[in-house]
Amino acid sequence: MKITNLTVSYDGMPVIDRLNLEIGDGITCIMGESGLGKTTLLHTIAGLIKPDSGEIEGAPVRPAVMFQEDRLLPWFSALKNLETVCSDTGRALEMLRAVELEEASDKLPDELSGGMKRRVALARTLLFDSDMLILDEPFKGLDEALTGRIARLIREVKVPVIVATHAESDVELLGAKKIVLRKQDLNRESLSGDITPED
Amino acid sequence: MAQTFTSKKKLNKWLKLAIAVAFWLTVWSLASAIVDKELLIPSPVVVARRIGGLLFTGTFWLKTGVSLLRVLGGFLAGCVGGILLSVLASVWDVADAIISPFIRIIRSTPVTSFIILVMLWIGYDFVPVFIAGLLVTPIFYANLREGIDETDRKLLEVAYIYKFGKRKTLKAIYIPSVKPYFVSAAVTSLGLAWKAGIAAEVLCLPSISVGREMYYSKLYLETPDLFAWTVVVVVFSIVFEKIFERMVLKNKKKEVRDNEDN
Repeated sequence: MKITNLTVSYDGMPVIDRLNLEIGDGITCIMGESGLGKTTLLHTIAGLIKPDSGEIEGAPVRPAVMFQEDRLLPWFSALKNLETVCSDTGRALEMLRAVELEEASDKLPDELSGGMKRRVALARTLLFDSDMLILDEPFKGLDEALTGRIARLIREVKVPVIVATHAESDVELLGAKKIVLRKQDLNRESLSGDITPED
Repeated sequence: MAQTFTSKKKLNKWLKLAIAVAFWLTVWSLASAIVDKELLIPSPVVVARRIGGLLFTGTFWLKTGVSLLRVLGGFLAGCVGGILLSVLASVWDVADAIISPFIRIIRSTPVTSFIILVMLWIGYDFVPVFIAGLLVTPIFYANLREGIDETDRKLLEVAYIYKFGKRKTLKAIYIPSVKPYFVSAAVTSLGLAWKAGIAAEVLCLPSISVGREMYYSKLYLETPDLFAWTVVVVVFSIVFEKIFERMVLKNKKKEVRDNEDN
């Protein structure tokens, strides 16, 4: 996927300013400090935000997004939340088992802990038949052991995966390429310039 | 232990209700005794005797039944009208510009003006239906509009990403989001429709109706009858509300069961 001169702004204020970026196959971790525009970039790639200008070549047609917040439907159980993206109950249950939540299948999101909700959200993302996975801080609220087991699931995915994260350890855990975004033009207080991937 | 606590709570509730009823019946009896004129304030005993008499007449049930059907017809029509208008106004700005002032006018116009106008337009028997519907529509409209507007945009983004499509978005996001607003509109408007429907009956006197009985009670200075019919209207209003509350509760329990089954 090739991003050229991408500019995205909110109420006239540019959040991303003329960004050039290339993201290859496999897993890519996008890192950078908070408030830099990582989530905006992910949402733009997913087609949720329309950029002011620029081009995204090879943008996903059916992305599966794991949002920064869990965004589970509060009136549906964990299993039913998964069934909104896949009508095969067997597969949905299998996915719940994979994220170690089989016993919580009938629980409503309100009855789940933060980490459990995160896993349901990830399960929903993994279950969706997509051409790219976009994960915004997927390990937030998970303990170390669980993070390792969940990372294994992500590593098995066959489509390109983009992960926004703060933790350097996530890159290693996922065996991912790393892109560090920097605030290159402090005067404009926006993200700009060319970013080169670091392997 | 939990069961004992629940039954104790229920007992408390009934005890409180009994105390409240006893208190107000005493106030009523005292007022009636002080005024000492049945024409102005008949005693609860006289009114109870009158209600007892009414209950055993076939015409009482017929009149109450027909009035109920009229009001329920109006309520359902208003409910459907409110749903359609709110959806239309939410998805189409032009419709919103047209519908919103119309709803505002309905809300601020005195019901009596409508009753008199509608009496000129349609048959007297249908005025209460129309009036009940007219009062209910803006309540459903306003509540559902709010519910639709308050639907979580973030969940709609989820629907967009995961290709829910229109039908699934409606079923999985809009309907559950709007449901509490719908229930609130229904609870508010049910009693209102009943009272407005009876008021319309009093003014337009359909042949078989509670309102006609109330009007003639007033005309012939049969105050105990007027009180008896008023008590009937109040009781039905409360019964409506309770039935609806039970329906909502039952529905909630069913949803929890459905979730557990999954």
